[in-house]
Amino acid sequence: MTTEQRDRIELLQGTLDLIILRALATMGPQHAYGLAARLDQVGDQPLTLNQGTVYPALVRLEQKGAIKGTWRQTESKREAKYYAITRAGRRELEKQTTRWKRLAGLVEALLLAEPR
Amino acid sequence: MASWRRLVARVLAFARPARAEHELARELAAHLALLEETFRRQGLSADAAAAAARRALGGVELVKDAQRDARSFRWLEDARRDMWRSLRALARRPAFTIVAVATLALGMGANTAIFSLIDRVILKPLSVPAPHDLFALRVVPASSQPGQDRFSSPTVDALRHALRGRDRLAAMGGLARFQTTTPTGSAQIETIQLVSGNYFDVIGVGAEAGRLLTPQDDVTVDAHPVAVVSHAFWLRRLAGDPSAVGETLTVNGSPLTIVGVVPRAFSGLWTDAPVSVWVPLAMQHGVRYLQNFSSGHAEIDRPWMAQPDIRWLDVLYRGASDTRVRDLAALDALFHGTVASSPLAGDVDRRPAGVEPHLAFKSAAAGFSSLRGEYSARLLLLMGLVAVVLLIACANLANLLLAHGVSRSREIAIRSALGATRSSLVRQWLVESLVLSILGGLAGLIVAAWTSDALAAMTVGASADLAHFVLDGRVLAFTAGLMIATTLGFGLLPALRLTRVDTDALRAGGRATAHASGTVMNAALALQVALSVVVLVAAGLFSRTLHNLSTIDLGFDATHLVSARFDHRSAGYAGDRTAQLYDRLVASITRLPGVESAAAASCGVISQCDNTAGSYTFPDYAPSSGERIAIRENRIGVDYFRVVGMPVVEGRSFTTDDSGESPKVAVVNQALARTYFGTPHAVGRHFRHDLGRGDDEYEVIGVVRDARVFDVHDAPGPMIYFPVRQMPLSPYGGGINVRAADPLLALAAIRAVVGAIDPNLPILSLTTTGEAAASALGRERLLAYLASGFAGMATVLASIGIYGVVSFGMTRRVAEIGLRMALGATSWDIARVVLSASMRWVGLGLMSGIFLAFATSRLLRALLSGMLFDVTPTDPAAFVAAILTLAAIAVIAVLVPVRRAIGIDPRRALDCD
Repeated sequence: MTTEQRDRIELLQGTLDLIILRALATMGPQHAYGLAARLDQVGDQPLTLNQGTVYPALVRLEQKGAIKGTWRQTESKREAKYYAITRAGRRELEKQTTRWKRLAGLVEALLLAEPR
Repeated sequence: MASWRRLVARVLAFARPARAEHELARELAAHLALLEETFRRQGLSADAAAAAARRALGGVELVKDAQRDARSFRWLEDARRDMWRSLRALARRPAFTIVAVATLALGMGANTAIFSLIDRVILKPLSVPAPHDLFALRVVPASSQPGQDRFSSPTVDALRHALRGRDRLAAMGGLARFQTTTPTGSAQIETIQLVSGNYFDVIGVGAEAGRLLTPQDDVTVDAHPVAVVSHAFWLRRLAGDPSAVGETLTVNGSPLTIVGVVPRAFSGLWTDAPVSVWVPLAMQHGVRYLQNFSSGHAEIDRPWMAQPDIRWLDVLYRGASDTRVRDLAALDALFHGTVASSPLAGDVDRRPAGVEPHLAFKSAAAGFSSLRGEYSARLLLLMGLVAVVLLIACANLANLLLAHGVSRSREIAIRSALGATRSSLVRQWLVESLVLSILGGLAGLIVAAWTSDALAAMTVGASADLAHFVLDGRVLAFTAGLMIATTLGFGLLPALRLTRVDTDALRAGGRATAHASGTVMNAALALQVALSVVVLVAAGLFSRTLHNLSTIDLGFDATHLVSARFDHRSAGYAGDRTAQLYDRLVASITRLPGVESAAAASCGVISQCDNTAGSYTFPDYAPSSGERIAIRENRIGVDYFRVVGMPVVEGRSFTTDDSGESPKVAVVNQALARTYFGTPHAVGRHFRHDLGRGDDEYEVIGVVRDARVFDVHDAPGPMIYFPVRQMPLSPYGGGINVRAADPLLALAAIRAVVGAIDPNLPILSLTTTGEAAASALGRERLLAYLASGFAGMATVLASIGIYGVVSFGMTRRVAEIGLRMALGATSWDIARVVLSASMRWVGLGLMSGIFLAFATSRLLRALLSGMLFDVTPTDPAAFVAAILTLAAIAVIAVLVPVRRAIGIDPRRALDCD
């Protein structure tokens, strides 16, 4: 594992959980592929990440009780594990969103105040 | 909340990985299928779509690892995987695994067994609340006379008062063996202890049934006929019946009401002598407790409660560390304030001069044990010896691992070429060693359970509570510690050595590693041989000691002899009634079938009973200044010398004519004749013995052979024998010696006769003299047997070690040997090649072993001298025997590999590798 890769994952670690919760809250239950595909479209430039990256986040969130997975049929009659956000997950999303907004605001303010 | 929930989930995921793994695999398969579908829709072929799907996911195994990381604990998972991998690796090499596990099982089992014995005899705290707050109050420096450091009842009251009502001091008498009759009428001798009313409060135990003693049970002399029984006594003698509380128990003739049962966990403070019945101190006079005391001018038959001259109580204190110092100061102030006028004043001059006696606390956390003093040093020495054996086993295993590791060096080289880091390789090796250690340790527990009981039986007698191996947390913790220590002991060096792989290793095919390992292995072999010498020398010394003692000439005929000892005082005998009792006993016992003769004596043979008295004057002997003549004496019946088979070498023995009216006579032994009369022919000489009844003159009428009558270990010193008709038996106790055709058969008959004459007469001991002499050698036997066992283990390990190293050396030189043979080397040359290096190291090991053993025995000279008999710590025979044994073992161990080397076919040898 190179240093570069490690940096990227660390950068994403906090945000990934938040993004998944947000996606599930707005789009309803999704399977891992659906979520990964959604991640590809975040922002202006697509995140060039492996789709497998979502798995650690999913298991983490499920163990915390923020999401819950159930096996269901896809539209193309395949089986897939669909994750849905729980009530605890919504509370967590709200809390994390506020936290992130405050943090982002703080960082922005700091960056602006920095003399060039 | 969420983080707790996650922790639990992670632990569960670790505990049951199968389900989570299955679910993950299923989920990833579904994911890949969806991706493939998408790629195919974009126009890719089936194969290309599958490959693209894998790429997009990022590698199935990598994703799985990342998810596992989040799902559970990575290091735990890794450890488990390493563990399984090690078990599989070990299962592939069953012969190696069995040898390794067996070696460890013996080594660790022996260590665990000795530790559990040490724990039971020395270390283990009493199972009472806060045992480390319990202390015995002692006078320091201790008096030179044993038993002088007890306290009188008034002194104890004063000490308790000094703590101003805070009830932290309890008092107790010594242990007594009393006839005890249950409500159903069954009578047996039991261990009884008199204790103060607050004793159980201070100890901190509550009642299992009924109630325990209270201060109200211990107020007025003879007015509290109550008793508390132990759990074991309740089960054994009272059938565990709860209604036994309230019934009457007769102790030494006094009826007492059973008021309660003590819980199983507590059986008194003496770990090797469990107490059956506790009685209030106030009942001392009532139950005729007349032992374990020292006195000045006291009236022994009046109650002791108010007599300041009778010192008979031990004091027990309970206090946490913060109050302890203050309390001791208060007690000591009282002690100093009253010491001049106190009954202890008489003892002060028997203490080392210039040291002011004062009070001190001695920890009672582990209880007391008469075994502790006798066995502590020996058990610790054995612990050291058995640790050395384990070290030998470790050196042996390290060599085994190295030899096997070298054959795996290609595997290691490949794994490290494939990117395994050194630390992960070392970890894998250590885990493999740990698995071996754990298997060995578990098997060792079984070995310990088997051997420990036998050990304890040899040490403390099988009947004692502590004779039984208990697999408790302490023993488990010790074994666990041992597992880790041995893992490092034998695993670390091979792990570091074998994983030091350079890039050339693959090309060299492991030969470079093999060469480097060869030196390490030889060094380990030398260490093993050196340590074996030490163990063998120890075994030699202790075996010779046991042999010397068990074949020693006792000076009398110990075969066919029975020795009995009675506590007639507790049964109420005094004066003429005592003499009549022993006359009746001797007469009845003599009439028993199979009994040849019997005689009374104040002390039997090998009874460790010692009556030593002073006030002797010998006309031809001028004592040097300050010398106080103290001579061991025995008061004996007419037939005594004939009964015990002690030859009278000059003059005559006592007859019935030597009685109260006739002139006073005595028989002396050869040592006394030589020392005090300056001649072996002392018959007809006179001496004086002042007993405070006027100066009495005695005539020596006979000289008997010197004999080890009191203890096998003691060299016979001067001794005087008096006839019981002129010098009555001691008021405290007496014995009878019986010569019988079959002494074992006679025991039961004698017991029956004693019971018929007086069922309340306590029998202190009744054994064959052979048995007594043998059990007197228990300590020597323990050391000799165990050290020999350890030496056997060390020898076997050494032979395996030498065999292993030599055959390893041969295997890696097969090609060279083949070449030499092809060039015309003889069998002898080949043998020399195979042996030369290893034998040099064995020789070095032997030399350093001699040096090590010599240095150790010099260092432990003081300790050893108390444990050896007629052998010096540097006994040449023990050293020579050790060297010869190991040299012989070495020769046998190398025969097989050398023969194999000679049988090598040069053509095939040159092909190999």
